[in-house]
Amino acid sequence: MKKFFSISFLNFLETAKDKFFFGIIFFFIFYLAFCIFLGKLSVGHADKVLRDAGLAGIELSAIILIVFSFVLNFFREKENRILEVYLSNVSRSTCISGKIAGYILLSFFYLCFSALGFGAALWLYNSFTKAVFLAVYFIFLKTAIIIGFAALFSCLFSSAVLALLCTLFVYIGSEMLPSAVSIIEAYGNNVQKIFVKALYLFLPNMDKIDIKALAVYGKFPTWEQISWITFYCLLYTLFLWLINLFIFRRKEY
Amino acid sequence: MAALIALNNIEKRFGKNLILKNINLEINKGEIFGLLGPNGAGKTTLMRSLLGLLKVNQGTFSFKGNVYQSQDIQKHFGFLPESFLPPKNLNAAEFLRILSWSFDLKAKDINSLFKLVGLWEHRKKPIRAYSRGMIQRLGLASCLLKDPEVVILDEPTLGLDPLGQKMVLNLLAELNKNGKTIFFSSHSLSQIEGLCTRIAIIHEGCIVFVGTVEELFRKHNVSSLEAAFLEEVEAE
Repeated sequence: MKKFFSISFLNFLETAKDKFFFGIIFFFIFYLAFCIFLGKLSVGHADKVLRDAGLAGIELSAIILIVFSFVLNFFREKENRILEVYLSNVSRSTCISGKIAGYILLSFFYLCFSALGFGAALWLYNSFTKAVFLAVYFIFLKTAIIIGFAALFSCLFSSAVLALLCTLFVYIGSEMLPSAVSIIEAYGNNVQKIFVKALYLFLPNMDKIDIKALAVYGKFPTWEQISWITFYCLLYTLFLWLINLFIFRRKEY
Repeated sequence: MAALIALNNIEKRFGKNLILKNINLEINKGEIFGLLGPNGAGKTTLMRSLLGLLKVNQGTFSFKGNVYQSQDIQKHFGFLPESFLPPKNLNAAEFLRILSWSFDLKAKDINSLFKLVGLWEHRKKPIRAYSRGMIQRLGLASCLLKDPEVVILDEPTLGLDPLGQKMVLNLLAELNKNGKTIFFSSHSLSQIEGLCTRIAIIHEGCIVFVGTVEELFRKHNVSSLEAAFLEEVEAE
């Protein structure tokens, strides 16, 4: 267990001290200022616009942070032979599990920071609702799944660009897929319907995880919904973790 | 004397290319064993195979007479790869301290390691500000964290200036005095000559010579390692 914590904390600290991490934080602060400005422009809907744009910004910046930092650091570690040093000290399973845990910790750390910042901005403009914190929790669950995909593509491919693109496509694809399903259901042929349905079943159902639309209106999902979404995300992350273990143990580094 | 590490009939292929051809080698306890060979001879592949980073197509590795598992590598072998660059955003103290969580090391042990590799004054500097020589010494410290029986180093002096090379080689000699078995690869003949108990020459994936430097000189009737090395490689 100590080896696992060692690898995860090394990964966490290396990324948390990187210029890219600070860049994302600055981006988020500027974005927050932009959201406040946008809220002021939307007379009568200021609090909803502020909540909606803010939550979208938190999700976007968190996804960019974890995808880019995971993939780029993974390939940097390979190139700089750090991975070989880790693998001469810890087992392959511990190494990949530690890396995934390190980035989940990073995502948690960043989301806590951004949720506090966003909460403070909402409070200053009398738009605060506790539902935004719950929405951030669901963004955290989404990022855990995306970290699993980033690890999967980094293990599978020998090109960082390919791993980056595939991870981003999975994220964008799973966000867009519900719309694609409804369009194909209405206008597509049988083959297209089966294909899109299979894709929808295989890719994470981000539309089900997302509660931003509720949080904007200050509404909460039921406890049953919260439990099911949490269970679904944990199961999906576990599934990706097992695939990662399987691939990483067979790879030659 | 029974060999500490034995490589038996090792073969490694990358696709259709046979990179290591039937390698048999024994490294004894307390030796400084040098692996010499031109670029592309298979030195790095052999070391990475020895550490289980690459899977061999044929043959076995044994440690103290037993075929070893990955747990044995994690416990007994310290490794410094070629062109190693530790995480640049951390400082050396953070890097070693966090890495040492795996080995139940006390702070004073880490401090003594910093003193051993001559980085005590620089331990709080970010690694990105380190010179190549300092990074190499930090790498050595990281592979000594678990107090391994065997220290494996791939081209440890590559890219270092003469002063840096001397420091690293002195450090290897000191580690050997403290009972560590050292297996390192290099294509710098002068370093091998003064330091190694025994050497092996690898050429195009085959071990073409194993013995002491003196035995190599006698074999080719020459007095410089460079001439002996060239004759050995060109004879193949």
